[in-house]
Amino acid sequence: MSEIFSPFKSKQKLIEIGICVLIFIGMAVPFKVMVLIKGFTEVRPVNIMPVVAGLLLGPAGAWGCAIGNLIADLFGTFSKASILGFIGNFFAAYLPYKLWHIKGRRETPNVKSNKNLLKYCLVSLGSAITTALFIACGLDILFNMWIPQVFWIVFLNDLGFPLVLGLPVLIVLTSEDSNLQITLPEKESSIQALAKKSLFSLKSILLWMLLISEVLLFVMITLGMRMTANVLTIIIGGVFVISLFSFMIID
Amino acid sequence: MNRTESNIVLFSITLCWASSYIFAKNIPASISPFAYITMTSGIASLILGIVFCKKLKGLDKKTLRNSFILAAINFCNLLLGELGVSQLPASTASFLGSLTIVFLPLLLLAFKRKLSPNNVVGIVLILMGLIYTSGIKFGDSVSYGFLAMVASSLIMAVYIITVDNFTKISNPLLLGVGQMFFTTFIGFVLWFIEQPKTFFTISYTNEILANIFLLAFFAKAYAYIMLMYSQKYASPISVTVMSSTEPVVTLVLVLLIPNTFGQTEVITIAQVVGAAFIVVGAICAGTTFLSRKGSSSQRGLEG
Repeated sequence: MSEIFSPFKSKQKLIEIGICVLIFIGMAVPFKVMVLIKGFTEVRPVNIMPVVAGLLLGPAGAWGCAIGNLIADLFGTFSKASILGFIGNFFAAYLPYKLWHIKGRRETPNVKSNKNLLKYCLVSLGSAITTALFIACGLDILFNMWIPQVFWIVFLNDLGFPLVLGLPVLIVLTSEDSNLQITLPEKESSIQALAKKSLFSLKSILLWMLLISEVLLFVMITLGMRMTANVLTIIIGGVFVISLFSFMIID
Repeated sequence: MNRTESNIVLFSITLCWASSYIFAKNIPASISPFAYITMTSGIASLILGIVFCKKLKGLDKKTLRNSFILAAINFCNLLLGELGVSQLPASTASFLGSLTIVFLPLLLLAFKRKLSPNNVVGIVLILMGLIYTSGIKFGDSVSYGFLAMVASSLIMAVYIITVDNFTKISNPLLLGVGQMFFTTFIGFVLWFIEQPKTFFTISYTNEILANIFLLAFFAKAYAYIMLMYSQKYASPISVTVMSSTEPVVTLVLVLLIPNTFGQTEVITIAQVVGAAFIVVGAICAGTTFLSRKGSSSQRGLEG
């Protein structure tokens, strides 16, 4: 839990949050007025930000994307549902960071090997499904607004842009020419490491719960069901939310 | 940056340039090409200037001179391309615009830089693919548009080789920002000569502004900075091979987004065959299976 709020204790991290917020607003606001392609008006190039910012800046990047999205909403799409956008964008950035460092090897995010390239793709996929489920199902449960298109649009935006444009940005920012200071999880003392070993198994269980619930919900939505359709989907949704929040909170 | 990484970066540039047609079609034809270049490059310069303001302190005379040379070459390429497209059928213009894949190796040979067997086979396959996809009919008379388009391709090849040389001696980021600034400057001067009222001649709508901003962001700021970075690590051949896959990317975009180019596109078998040739050619040119083991000089060229 302390890691999530750690950026607010450091001046450098606060600056990083500020830069992220500015870049996010700069990329999101101009495209709000765009009606370019019929049926694709919701294309959001700004979605290259969360995965890259999360991997490179950790919690600071996640806060930057969440705050940036909230402020960008003020330019025309602000509503009660903006809270879902705030949390969704936080997850979209913070989940990749948590997934990349789940084994605690403190490996700098990079795609210099095929294994890491695949890891980046899977992390982006996980982040996209999580965000899409959280926002679309959140609208259904909290505001009784079930719009299946929202799920697919958020999912495709959050998957497509990080893969097509976010990946090259990550490559350049992790190249020899870049002097960006990449955020890694803090080093642990031997006692902390021992405690973490037991936590790792808990993290693994939560991750599996999250993945299984996501796959089930994904299949159900593909089949045309909604989150509040029946008891089963509500239970799976509950497992999804609990495992997601728990996985995020555990340091 | 390794080969896979530079190929990913180069492919993203191709994607940006291929998809820029979607947004460019929303800009009225009445807007002068100089206005278009000035506004897109101007916004891109502004974005890059703000994002990299701290790094601009590193701009020296040499980088500025190199940036100006790149901007001038690129501007000639853009103008000749514009002239060619306006006077030729789209298929012919598309084919002639892709001839960089032929000119670049010839220029490299002139500079005594050898090509690998994979490069040669790959280029031949790509050329065949381009002939198929564009549907060009040989035997047409040579017009000014034809010559302009050929010159544009030749200048593009010169541009790629020049970028390759400059990024080895100057900071790629500063080169990209400088080039964008000088392109804006040259564009504005020519726009001013053509239409002294410049910005006041256009009736702005939200749609025009949004499209210009999008083109500035992706087709200019993103694409050129990424090109500078990737060319530091990739060979000119890799850059040209990757950019020659543009017709394939366009074809995929047409399938993914109906009515992309303002009308329903019908994909022909010839286009699919051509696209297959291009993909196989690009893979062939980007690999080394035809080269003898231990031939390090050849590998160097393949990027």
